[in-house]
Amino acid sequence: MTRYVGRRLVDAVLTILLVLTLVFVAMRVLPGDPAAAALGDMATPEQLAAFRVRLGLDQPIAVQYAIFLWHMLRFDFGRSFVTNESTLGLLAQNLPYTLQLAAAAMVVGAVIGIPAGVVAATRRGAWADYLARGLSLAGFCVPEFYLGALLLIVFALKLNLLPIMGGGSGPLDRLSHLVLPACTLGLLMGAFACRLTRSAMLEVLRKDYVRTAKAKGAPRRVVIYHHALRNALIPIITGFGIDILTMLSGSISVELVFSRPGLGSVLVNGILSRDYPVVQASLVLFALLVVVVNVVMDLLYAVVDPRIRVTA
Amino acid sequence: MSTTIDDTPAPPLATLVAETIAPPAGIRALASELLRSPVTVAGLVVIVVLLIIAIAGPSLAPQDPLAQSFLHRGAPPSAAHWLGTDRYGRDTFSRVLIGTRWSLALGLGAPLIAGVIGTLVGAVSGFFGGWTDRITSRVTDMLMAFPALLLGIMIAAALGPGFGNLVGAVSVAFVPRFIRVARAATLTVRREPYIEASFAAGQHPLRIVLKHVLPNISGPIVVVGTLWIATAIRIEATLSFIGLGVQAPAPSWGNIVRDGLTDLLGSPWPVISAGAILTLCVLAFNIVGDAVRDVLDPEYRE
Amino acid sequence: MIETILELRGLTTSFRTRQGRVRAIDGISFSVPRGGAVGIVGESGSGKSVTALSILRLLPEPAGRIDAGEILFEGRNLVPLPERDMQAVRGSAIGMIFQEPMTSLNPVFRIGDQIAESITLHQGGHQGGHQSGGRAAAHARAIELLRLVGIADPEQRVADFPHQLSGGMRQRVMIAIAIACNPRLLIADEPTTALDVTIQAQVLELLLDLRCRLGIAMLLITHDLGVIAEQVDDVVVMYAGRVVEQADVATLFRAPGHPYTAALLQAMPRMERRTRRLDQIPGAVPSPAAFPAGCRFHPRCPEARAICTTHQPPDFSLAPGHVAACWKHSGYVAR
Repeated sequence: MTRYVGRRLVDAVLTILLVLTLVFVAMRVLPGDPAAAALGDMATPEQLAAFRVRLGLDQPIAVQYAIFLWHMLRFDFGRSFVTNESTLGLLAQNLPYTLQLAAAAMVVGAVIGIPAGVVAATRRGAWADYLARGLSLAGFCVPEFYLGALLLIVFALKLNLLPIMGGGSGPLDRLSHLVLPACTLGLLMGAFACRLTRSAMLEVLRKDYVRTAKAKGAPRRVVIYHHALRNALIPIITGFGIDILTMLSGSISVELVFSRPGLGSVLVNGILSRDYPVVQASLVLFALLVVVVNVVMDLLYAVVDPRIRVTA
Repeated sequence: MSTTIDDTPAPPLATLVAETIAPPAGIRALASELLRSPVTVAGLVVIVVLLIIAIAGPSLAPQDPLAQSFLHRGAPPSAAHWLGTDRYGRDTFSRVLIGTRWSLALGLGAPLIAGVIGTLVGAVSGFFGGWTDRITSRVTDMLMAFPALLLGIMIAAALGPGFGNLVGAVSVAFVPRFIRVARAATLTVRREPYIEASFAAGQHPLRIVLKHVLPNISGPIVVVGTLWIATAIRIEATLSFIGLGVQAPAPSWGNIVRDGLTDLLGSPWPVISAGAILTLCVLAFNIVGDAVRDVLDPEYRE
Repeated sequence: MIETILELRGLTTSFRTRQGRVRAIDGISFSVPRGGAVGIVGESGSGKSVTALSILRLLPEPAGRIDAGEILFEGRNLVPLPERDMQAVRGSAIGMIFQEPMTSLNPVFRIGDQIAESITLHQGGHQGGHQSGGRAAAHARAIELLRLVGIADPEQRVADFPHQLSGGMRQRVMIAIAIACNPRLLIADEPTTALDVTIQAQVLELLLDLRCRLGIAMLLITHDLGVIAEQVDDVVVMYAGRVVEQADVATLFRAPGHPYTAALLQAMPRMERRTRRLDQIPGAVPSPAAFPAGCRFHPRCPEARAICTTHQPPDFSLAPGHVAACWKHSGYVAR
């Protein structure tokens, strides 16, 4: 078990390193001159040159890389070109909103999707099966920003039930601002969870130990929810991990639709205003989140599957 | 001491009940299999229509998609403007029509580029093995930890807006996936006897890869490629929506929704229609992609 | 007069396949006396496993279905029983063990819990009664059962997961699960086929021991005639979904009535005979979708005659307790 954990952590560190390198390379590949973009058309050549020195762009690329890594290690993301406030601070302010959205969406998704998937797997051919499969397909095809816009139109604009935009202030207000975005992402997560659960359950219900459970005289309820689902959870959890990451990418557009603060909007605003430190920092943070989610999922997998946890 | 009856092969009941079909060979068989399901046919029809629209482009549009009109801003659907106008007075129907071009161009182009690059890298890496293969696999695995959409957004964010950058970003996002599929397929093909025979005949290894390996791994590549077209279209739309993809004033389904979002109360029509056709397009490609996979990859059957 | 604990009358089961509805077993009839042991013997494809699964109504639904016949357990017909009542029978009155011990246990639960579940499921006269006193008692009984089936160190082992046990041990656990509620009948479907030869002997010995000690009747399904010889009192020979012969063990080995049985016996490798090749029965077992007309064995039968190709032979009674479905016994009375 410790071997398993150790390997995962080493992989995680390597991945972070790789991503940092990719971010570094990608941002240096930018066509155009960051100095000109930041300072504008009116800057003099001396100002541009001075700016480049400030950014360290005159150094050889290897040195730049080393400096870059050094900064990253210390979480020194520099200051925003636009507002001059600490980039780290900006991210710290916005991260909670994204995390809340992600958590809420996961809960909604699991609550909707897993039971739907179980029903779809155990009542094959019934209308419930087709409904569940149809919803799953819809979830894969409806883009999150479209779904968000539709929900916005119906619930916020037409029916005036929920707020249109922003993050809200005060716990109850923040909750009401969370509802629509969380439902948007949650419905999509639900579609993933439903498909995952359905196929995992179908696999598991074919297994010999399910037959043994029936031979013991277990009622259907027990066979499905105790014997089968518990085993199906293993692939469901691993699959869900991938979907969490898809949801993370989806959160970017959903935050945009609802004008909600969060990592996504920080990134997008940074791109639009060519605020390189902000963009760089957001990318790094996203990468970090991905790696963390992967590691957590792997560890969770070990917890759920005793074959890994308890080695013979 | 065990005494057993000679087991002459008899099909046990299990095999009878578990149905298996041998995959049909050839395009013709593929086409006829695909055409069996009415849902798949519907999907194919939608794709063909969209392709026609994309290729015919401006000639089909009733109005100039870029022509603004102060008088007719935010109008609901009418005889003149089938889907109404957006907040600049531009005809939504025409804009949606032109948007088809960009989405399909990227949706088909990016997987194609990624497929070519990824297949070559994966095949060569899997075939020759060694250190390069191990490094390639590790790097690929690490990149695979990122969903394609996120990777696309991240690369596009780093590169900046613009269609060229968009194509690059989305292609790069798919390359690791193609590498992995190609590599796995190559590893199985490599053990085949005709590869050995080619080596023995003195053929140059690269030639073997090109002549023997590539054609034989094309099956799984095509399957995943078709499935990813739908994803690529979605990524393009999302990137355009964020502002990283197709730039204004050129219309793309994604940026039509983005523009329309600011005036939802006034004219929700651009948002609703662009989003609807986007969903339909992704749905069609998903259905057809699933059907292709069901036919070409019999192990996947339920 | 020995009481019959299980009696099958004309049991017929079919499956839905691509070729339509196909009959897997056809008119199976035999009985098992209380405390006795009956073996069902046949090659793969003979329908013996389907028979066993049909008794407990464990056929995969909706593909599998009992079409006709009766299954009388202690006089009560199981076929029309509602599912809830059937659940009360499974595991408590009739226990079953399967061929693949490696996959028959749930990998995520401890073996002690899996055994205890058998007990708690049937406590309190209705399903799923979970009183805390019941659970502790069930756990203690699980340890007892592990000891009974010959697992060393049961107090430690009870907390193990299936993947920590060997194949032979897993099969013992399966047996423990099956007998946990003191069933009157144990159905064993090829219990030793997937095990090593030495382990096979141990498990069979265990079954024999339990039978004698607990007085459980046994229905043993196997393709291995050697196992039959040592374990059961009476034998039912099945071929292509039908019963072709029934006899007690001694008679079957000494004077088989059906050419198929004779061929099986002939095909057994024996130490005393110096042969270079093992005898085979030429041909193959027919698939249920394409059973031959008339006697199903006739294409492979060395004694086939004209009537065999057109008419199914009835069960001819050769002696009390010895029945064979073969036209060569047409002189006898048909049952």
